[in-house]
Amino acid sequence: MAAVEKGVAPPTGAVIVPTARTGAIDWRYVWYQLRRSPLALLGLAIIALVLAAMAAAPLIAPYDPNRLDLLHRLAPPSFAHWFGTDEVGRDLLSRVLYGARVSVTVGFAVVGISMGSGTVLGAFSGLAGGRTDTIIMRLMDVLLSFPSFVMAMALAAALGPDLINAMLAIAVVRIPFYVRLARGQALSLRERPYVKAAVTFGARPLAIAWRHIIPNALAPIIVQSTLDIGGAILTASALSFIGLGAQQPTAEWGAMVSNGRDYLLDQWWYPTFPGFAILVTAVGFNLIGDGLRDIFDPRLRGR
Amino acid sequence: MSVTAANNIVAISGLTLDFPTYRGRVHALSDVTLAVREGEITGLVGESGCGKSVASMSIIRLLPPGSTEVMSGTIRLRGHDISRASEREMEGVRGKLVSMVFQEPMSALNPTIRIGRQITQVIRRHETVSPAEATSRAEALLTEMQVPDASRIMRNYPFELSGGMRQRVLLAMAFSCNPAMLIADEPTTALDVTVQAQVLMLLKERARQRGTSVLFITHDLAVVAQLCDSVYVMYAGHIVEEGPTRAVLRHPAHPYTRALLRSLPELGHPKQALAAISGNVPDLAHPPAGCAFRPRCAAAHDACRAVPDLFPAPDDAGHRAACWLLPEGASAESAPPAGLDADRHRTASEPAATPLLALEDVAVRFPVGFDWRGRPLGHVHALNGVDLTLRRGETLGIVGESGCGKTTLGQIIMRLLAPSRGRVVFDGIDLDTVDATRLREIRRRFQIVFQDPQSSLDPRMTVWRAITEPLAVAERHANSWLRDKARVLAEEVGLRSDQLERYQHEFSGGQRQRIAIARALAPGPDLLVLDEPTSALDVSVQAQILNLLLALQQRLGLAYLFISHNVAVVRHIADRVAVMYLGQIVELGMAAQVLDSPGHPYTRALLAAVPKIGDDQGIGLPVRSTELPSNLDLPAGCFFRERCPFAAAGCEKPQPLVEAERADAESHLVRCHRLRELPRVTARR
Repeated sequence: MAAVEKGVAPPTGAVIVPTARTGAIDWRYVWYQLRRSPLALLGLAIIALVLAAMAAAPLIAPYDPNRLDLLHRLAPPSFAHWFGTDEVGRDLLSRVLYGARVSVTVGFAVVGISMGSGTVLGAFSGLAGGRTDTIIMRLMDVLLSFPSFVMAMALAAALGPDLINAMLAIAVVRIPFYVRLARGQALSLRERPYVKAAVTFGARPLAIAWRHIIPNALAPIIVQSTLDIGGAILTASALSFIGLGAQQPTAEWGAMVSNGRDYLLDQWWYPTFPGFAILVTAVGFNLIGDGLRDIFDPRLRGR
Repeated sequence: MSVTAANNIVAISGLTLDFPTYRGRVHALSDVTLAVREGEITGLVGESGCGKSVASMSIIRLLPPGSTEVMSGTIRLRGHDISRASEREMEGVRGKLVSMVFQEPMSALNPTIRIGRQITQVIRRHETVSPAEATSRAEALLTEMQVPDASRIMRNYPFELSGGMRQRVLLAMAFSCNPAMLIADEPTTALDVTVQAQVLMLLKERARQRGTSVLFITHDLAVVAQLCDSVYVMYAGHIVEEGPTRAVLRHPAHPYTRALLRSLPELGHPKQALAAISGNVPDLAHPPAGCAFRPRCAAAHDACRAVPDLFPAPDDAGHRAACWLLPEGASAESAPPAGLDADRHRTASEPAATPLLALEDVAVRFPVGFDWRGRPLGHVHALNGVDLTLRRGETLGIVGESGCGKTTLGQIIMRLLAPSRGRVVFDGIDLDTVDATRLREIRRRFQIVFQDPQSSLDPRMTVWRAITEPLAVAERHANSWLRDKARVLAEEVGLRSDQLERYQHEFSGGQRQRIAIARALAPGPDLLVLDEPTSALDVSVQAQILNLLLALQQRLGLAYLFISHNVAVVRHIADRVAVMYLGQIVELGMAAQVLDSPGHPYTRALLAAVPKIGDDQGIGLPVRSTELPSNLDLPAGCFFRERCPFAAAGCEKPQPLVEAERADAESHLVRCHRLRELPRVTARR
């Protein structure tokens, strides 16, 4: 209080750390910090590669991912089939490339749904306060109290085994995290002078939420979402693996691992390559997320 | 002030220091040469970002090693060069030879450790003494720093102490190992003036008694005048002037020092434009070539393209300034700077029929703590029965220290808070009786400018959107129409209209405050509440903003409610002044009446505590007890009674405002029953 009351000369540190948690994202600063963090750059490179593979799958895939070739069933990796083939002779490299389209899209869609609805709900809850806030947050506590994978499994099973349903189930399970995050941001942002200023010239609560709260709450939410994409892909793969997600013949990494596990001992390449794709993509998104978190919250920065 | 002299405790010579950042290299210090002599108090003064803290921190190497690069220069402590000393050697230096006191006493103390242990830790780090001995020494130190009941305070945690008390604890820690030198970095900036006066006095006395040298860093020239033997003035990483305090402040030789002194409101005429320094402090990533002050200097000429050395000034042997005018023999005593419009004096507004704003017996209390049934355990009494009127076109200054309720008063008027008791009437409309829609309409007629323009502007909005936000939330408008409006408003407040596509963080503090003022003007208000609008700004920029506010008032006929802790600023801008203490108005009247011949003992104490330039007699000691009474349970009778030097029988009864005198149909009200018995004072202006 005293510091706000009096004319406090800014600390010298202001010269050294330019983005002083104003809430605004200075992308130039983000890029400067990213460049100095080799792991985040590695993550960025991985994701760029995965996205390129997604986009260019029809161009670079050597075969149609669904073309059966019963003469070359379960062929080991060779120059004709780099990743080998599966039990009906489909080319695994092509399937992994096309699988990126499904898995990464699922990752983005899940995070998009949960982030979008969670942010709006959380901001609303924080701004409304009182009983509304209590009811929303207790509902979120109920959702959170179930182990998230079990919850997603139950939801997906109830909705029926289908990729879209699996996606929705995973998204619902992740909503509470965003609600909590956005609510916390809203609670702190609504005390900011620029929000008070908006009240003084007669802005309605909805206008304040839309103009000031949500844009300024985004930085930590973006960090959370990049960390989440990897997790969402893993969960979707896991649901497919137990048969609640993508169904045959869709090329989806989790489903491929699931089908391939029977062949692990004799035809190791079948489950290994799709599994490796899942691992690498998840790691890539997590590295970026860690990098962004460090940039936006210097207090967490490791040595 | 020769750097080679043997009696220097610290001698920095030719220090040049950079911060490599993503924007390029920031040249924080350029060829800084500075010495602190045994037993002297040396001031280091400058505006924010001029490098004064960096210079002081380099003495004990507190700058982060990874992000600073010393380009050249040496730092000698008692003749021993420490620029290449190991971290181990530095640990022996810090605290033992040189110790430091910071601005924010709360963040300088560890919140989880008791006060006593924090002090004994320092002692035992540097000396081998038994725990019992360290404890008794810590207690003696606290007593020496005028901490009452030291043995009890030893067991307290930092958050249980007031700001002034914490700063005393820090002083005790700093003095604990008898350092040869103390670096004090704005130690009183976060404190109220009455507390500041006490801490400064204490620091000065103890340093003299112990023979400790002090390097005192501040932005406040008046504090320097009271405290320091000699002073260095810094600007943009350069030392621009140095010399005995008296010589530098009486006969400043550098145009910057001169302009800085002229931009102080206490040295200008009330209600007239101040001699502000145009422009801003340069960006140290891209400093101007030659003299750093050249772009803002009225006397700049061809020679200024080269960096000037420190040349001796004629008046005093040790007085030197880095300005080419000195060797050329020309005097920089130039004509009064442009923009000083002599006769723009505006008389106070004529009394109108209905006041624009009237507060009737307004009280605000906040519940604190709740019992198991949800009932509050107590109340903070932020405002206790405030009666106030404000006329059209008038400026009413609200003066008081932190916790006196002045900010709450601003929030009540802005209707960001509802009063617990009493009425707020704006232009004849009781704000309690209107519904939400009508209130939103009325709100547009009173607007607020906050203290910190950085936090009062949304960082994610372009400037034109921020300025026109009040218009955009009221009705739908085309962006082109809003842009045009923004351009007009920007010109009104002296912003360049080609910068409106930028974001607030690309602007300096003063420009941001202009943006905030433009936004407040957008709905066409009758009243502006200005809540400490200049206290986050440097003095040269403060002068620009005060000039702008005066000009706007003349042009638009606005009424201002100007809230500030800074008496000089209020004296400069206000027609009438209300002095607040513990949620009450203790004195109210014309600015000249209240602030030049104060009636209430509190106003007297407040004014005595304000440091003044040209008053190097010392520090006025204002009040008896140091602590502001808690507004959780209010004292009975006069709220100031326990600290009042004139307290007598009768003070235990509640005091009404009584009329002290009447001049120009304007009464001077004072909440003190002993008013007529008190000696008359006139301010030392």
